[in-house]
Parts: sequence; structure tokens; C-alpha cells
Amino acid sequence: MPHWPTDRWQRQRSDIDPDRPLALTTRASGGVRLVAVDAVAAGNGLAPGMTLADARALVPDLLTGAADPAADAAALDKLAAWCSRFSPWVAADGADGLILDISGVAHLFGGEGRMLSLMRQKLTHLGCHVRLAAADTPAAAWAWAHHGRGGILRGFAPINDLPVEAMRLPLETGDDLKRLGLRLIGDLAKLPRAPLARRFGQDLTARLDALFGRRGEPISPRLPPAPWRARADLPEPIISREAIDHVLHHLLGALCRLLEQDQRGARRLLLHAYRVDGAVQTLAIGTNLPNRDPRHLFRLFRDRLDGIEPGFGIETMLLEAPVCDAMPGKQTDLPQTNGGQATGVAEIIDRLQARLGSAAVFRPQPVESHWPERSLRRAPPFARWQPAKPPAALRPVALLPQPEPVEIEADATGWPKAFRWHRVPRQLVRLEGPERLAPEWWHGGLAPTHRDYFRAEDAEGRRYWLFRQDHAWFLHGLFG
Amino acid sequence: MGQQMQTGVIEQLRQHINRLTVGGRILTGKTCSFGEAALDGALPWGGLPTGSLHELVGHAPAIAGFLSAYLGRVRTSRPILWITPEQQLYAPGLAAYGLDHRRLTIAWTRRSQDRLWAFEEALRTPGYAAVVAEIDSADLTATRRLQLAAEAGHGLGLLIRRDAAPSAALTRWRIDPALSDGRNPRWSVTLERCRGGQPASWLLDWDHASLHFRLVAALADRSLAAAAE
Repeated sequence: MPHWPTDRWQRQRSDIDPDRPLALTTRASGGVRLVAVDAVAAGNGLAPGMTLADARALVPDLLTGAADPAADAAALDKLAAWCSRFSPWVAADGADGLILDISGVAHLFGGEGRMLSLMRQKLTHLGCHVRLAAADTPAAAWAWAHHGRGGILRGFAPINDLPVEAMRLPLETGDDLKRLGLRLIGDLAKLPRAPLARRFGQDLTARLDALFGRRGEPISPRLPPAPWRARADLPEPIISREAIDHVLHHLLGALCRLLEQDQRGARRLLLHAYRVDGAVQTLAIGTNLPNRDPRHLFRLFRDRLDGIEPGFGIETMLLEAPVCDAMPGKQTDLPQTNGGQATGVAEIIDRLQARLGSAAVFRPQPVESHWPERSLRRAPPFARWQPAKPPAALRPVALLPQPEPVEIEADATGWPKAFRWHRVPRQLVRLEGPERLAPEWWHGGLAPTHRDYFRAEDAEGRRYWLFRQDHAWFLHGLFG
Repeated sequence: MGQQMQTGVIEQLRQHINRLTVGGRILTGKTCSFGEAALDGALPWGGLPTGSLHELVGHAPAIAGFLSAYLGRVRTSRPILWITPEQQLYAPGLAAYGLDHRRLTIAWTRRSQDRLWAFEEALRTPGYAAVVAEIDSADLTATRRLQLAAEAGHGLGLLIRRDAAPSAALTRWRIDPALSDGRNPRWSVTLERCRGGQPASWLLDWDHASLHFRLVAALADRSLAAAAE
């Protein structure tokens, strides 16, 4: 995208006259200089590196803005996310490019030619100036987009006529080559490799190999794509909840058939909604046991779909299962067997977690600690149980989130005979204890001093867990 | 004479059918007993039948203790779900009543409509031995839905509530603490309502050592139960 910074700047402002020349500037040595120019400004002879004063002399009605490379990079990343509708293997390339691996996906769009024109149409619609090229290697595609005619490159022969800059060489290497009269890639390709490597370094021969496909050059994608995915390109952008539900049903059906073929069950699903305005919205759901029941998975999404804002419409929806586990056999409707019951419980827990939040559904897992606040952990519902020693004495059925200070009325010997909690006085008829609990030293630092716990019962039979710490009394729990 | 006998037999049969059905549908599940003859005897089913809804009101910690004791007696490996608005439920305390908390999953949410939703959906799911939910109030329609869900899932629905609105539950219990003998927890347990049964009231101990309910006194006075209602 030769004008990415200015495209980005214009996209974020709707009140700009697109026919007015635009340049983005930054303060540099020798004054304010241009960093990026749009197509109109370039047509008027402006180029990055000029001082703003010179540029204004050439183009008096020049519109200027501040360059923001960080915002450009962030926006490029978002655009890469949006382009994952075309191929899961997509990565930002440099400061103004995107690179996609379209092997194996082009046929979904009716071939490479149609895919490129669709991409051109969609990206232009978003206000991006693009030069697109498809080739057999990423390096050749880059060269053909930046220095060739663009479009589909068949074979490697035309590459030979491109200038050496198309190899993305360091600046000094390029200058050295030109000084030796090696201007075109073809000039280099004819030379024997060994002397070339000795003179210019391994990097140069490696770049040649990458260009001509003699060495694999991996694209590092934004996110590794899931092998199980289903997509729907919608003839008309959709807005209504019914339409979104309908498409999701269709996608889940297709994905679950794939999972069934591979004897897999999903543990995590991502639904991406690609909007007409270039935004991508993603919903994630998880399951506790592998699952490929479209009805169940739909229910997990159902409550969340309200979070999707269709804006002016969604034109593509993509469903993928990045995390799957082996799941043999056919998924059938819950039979009255143990297996069926386990599935039922796992499914209802999935749904509770989808609606209440995954941390809101847990199993209390005892931890070996004397300190009551630390003696339980919230384990995931299907986490492996870890045995722990039971507490030495009876524990309350309700533990207050924080010990609450209480006012004590002491008898002649100094023991409490009544206390006040929630402004209600409670006469004690029984006090058992103390059970002394000390904080573990390894929790160190400003460790509180030990607590002496008592079981107390009031005149109506209500039972309390009280403790004394440094002469102050606290209520910590209620017995059943 | 023969006429009288016939009426008696029909009446007996009617009562019998009443015990075995809910709203015309036959109760198919098992019965989970309390293991204490006085309580089981007061219930037409000899315990609480699975696939049905039951309610508890009263003192929250006492209810938690009483329920843990009862659920601990239900001999099954199937899990138990407890839906609560508070973060206070303390599993080591429940374990003292015999409730193996490996079986326990807690779902926590402050929004009461979410608790009601979770309760109904979990009850409808086969696989749970019991689902406990703390719900401030539920109207007749809501409890009918819950009863139907429990029938579908074959589990035991235990609704801890604060209000006393009309309900489709089979039984309603009031659990309050009572002054103990200093060794074991003691509760005042009132069966306030029972489909096909009579209200009754007891003083009940829980023996932590033998994991059994133990009757202290039957408060046979029906006016007491009536007054509680």
C-alpha cells in the first residue's frame, strides 16, 4: 500500500476533501519534513524527505497532518485481522504491506485472479490505495508489487528484469552492486554463487534463493490459523439478529461435520464477523469437554451474539476451532447412560460459564494452609482433584469474605458473654476453644499475629466462629 | 357396611395415587431418605423423591448444614451444583456434615434472574444428583417451571428462598437453629407443607461422629406447624 500512512490518516477523518493533496510531516533536523504523501501530492511532484517549506512552494494548498508511525502500525495490524477473511495466513509486512499465503484458499474465491480483484475492490472501498501481486514466493510477490507491474506473476522469468532494489537489500549493498554495473536481478542471477556470497555476504544469495523459491521463506502469521474453520461470504451485508443466527447455524453445521470427519471435538471456538466498514468483531466460547454438537455450541454463542454490533452490515462470517481434542465416535443426543450424563453436566457447565463468566463456576479445592482465607482455591469445574488434609477442627459452613470486628461484652473473668453484630446484641451461652491458628511464616513480610478461634453459641442456638487477635475480637464464620 | 368399606378402599387408593403422582404425572424417580424414621415417616414417599422440587426457608447457615447433612446421605457419585449469590459457602464446613465436596460445583452470581435461569437449566440436565439454588423469591409460575425441569432431569431441586409465595414444590421446610447440647448442631425442623402429607415439626440433632440425624423431640403439636405457616 504505497500511500498507507495518508490512507490511514484520511480514513480516520471523514470531513477531508480527498482531492486535496495531503502530506504527513515530522520535525527533523533542518526543519519540518514530509514523511508520507498521498497520490495527489505525489502527482504534484511531492515526495517524502522534502522540507515542508519546499513542498508548500510547489503545492500551496497542501493539507498537512502529523505523522504517527505507531498508529499506522496499529491500523495495519487491524487491517491484517480484517484480511484474515481471505486467508488465515496473513501478516503485516514492513510498515505498509500485508502478505497472505493464498495457497489452497484461492479456489474458494474462484481462482487467484478473482481473488485479487475482490481484494482490490474491498480494500479500495476501505479507502486504501493498493498494489497487489501474487507470485510463487513471498519475495517474488513483494518484488512484483513494488517494482513490477503487479497482478499475477507466472513463473520467475519477469523477475530478472526488475531492479536489484526489488530484493529488499540493505541500502549500501544495492549501491555497491550498482557501482559494479549490476542493476537488474537477472544480472545477479547469472553470476556464480560462491564469489557472489564471498563479495556480498550470505544474505544476498539467501535473498536470491528466497526470490526464486529455492528456499522456503515462512510468513509469520498474526495468529496461527486453526485447521478447522468454516466461512460464509454473504451476498448482501447482514444486520439483523435473525440473519446472524441463521449464518451461525450454517457455519456450526459445516464445522461440526469437519470435526466429525476428523474425530475431533472443539474446546474453544472463535466467531469472527467482518464488517463492511473494515472492523472485525470476535466472540470466543469454550467447552469443558470436547464437543461437536451444533445445537449445544449454538446455545453457548446465543447469549453472546447481542455483543456483535453489525454497524452497516456484516459481509463475511468465519468460524474456527483453534483448540480441539480427540473425540471418537458419533455425538448423539444424551442417552440415559453415564456417558450421556457426563456430557449433560459438561454442557450445562459450558453454558453457565458462557453466561456467568468462567470464573463464576468453580469447584472448591482445599489447599494445605491453616489460614482460613487461604485454605480454599477455586478450581475449574473439571480440574483434577488434589487431596488435602482436612482441617483439625470443625469449620463453619459460611466464611465471611473478611473477618468483621465485633464489640464484646466481657464477664468478670474477661471472657465474652455477649457481642454485637449487625447492631443486634447476641447473648452467648457457650464458648469453646481456643484453636490457635498461626499464619504460615512463608507468607512472611508483615504477617499478622496468630488468631485464637472460638466456637460460640447464642441463646437461640445460632453458632458463630469468633477469633481474638491482639485483644480485638472478630466474627469470621457461621456454623450450620 | 360394604358401601363404607368400598369408600374407605377408594379413599386409600386415592391417597396412594396422590403420593405417586405430581399433577397427574407419575413420579418415576428414586427416593432419597433422611435415615431418620420420624422424618421419612412424615413424607408420603418415605424421603424426598428425585425429579421434584422442594423448598427451604429459615436461617441460612442452618439450612446449609441441614442440606449438607441430607445430601451427604444421598449415596451416589453424581455431582451436586449449588447456585449462590454470596461468596461465603465454605466447603470444609459442609464436608463436616458428610457432603463430599469433590462432588460439589458452585455457581456464583449476584443477578437473581441469572440464578433462576441457571437453576432451571441445570435441573433440566440429566446428571446432577441435586441442584441447590438460593433465590430470594419465585412466583407460582416460576416454581411450576422448576418442577417440570426437575421431572425432565430426574434430579432433586432444592430451592432456598426468603418469601412464602404459593409454590408448586412438593414440600416446604423451615430450618432454624436450636439451643444445642454443646456437642452437636441442633435444629428446629418444620415440614410446613407437604403434598399428600401433614405438617410436622421436630427438634433434630446432627451427629458429626456417626453422620446421622437423631431425633430429640417430635413437636407433634400441629398448631405449631400451622403457626409457622
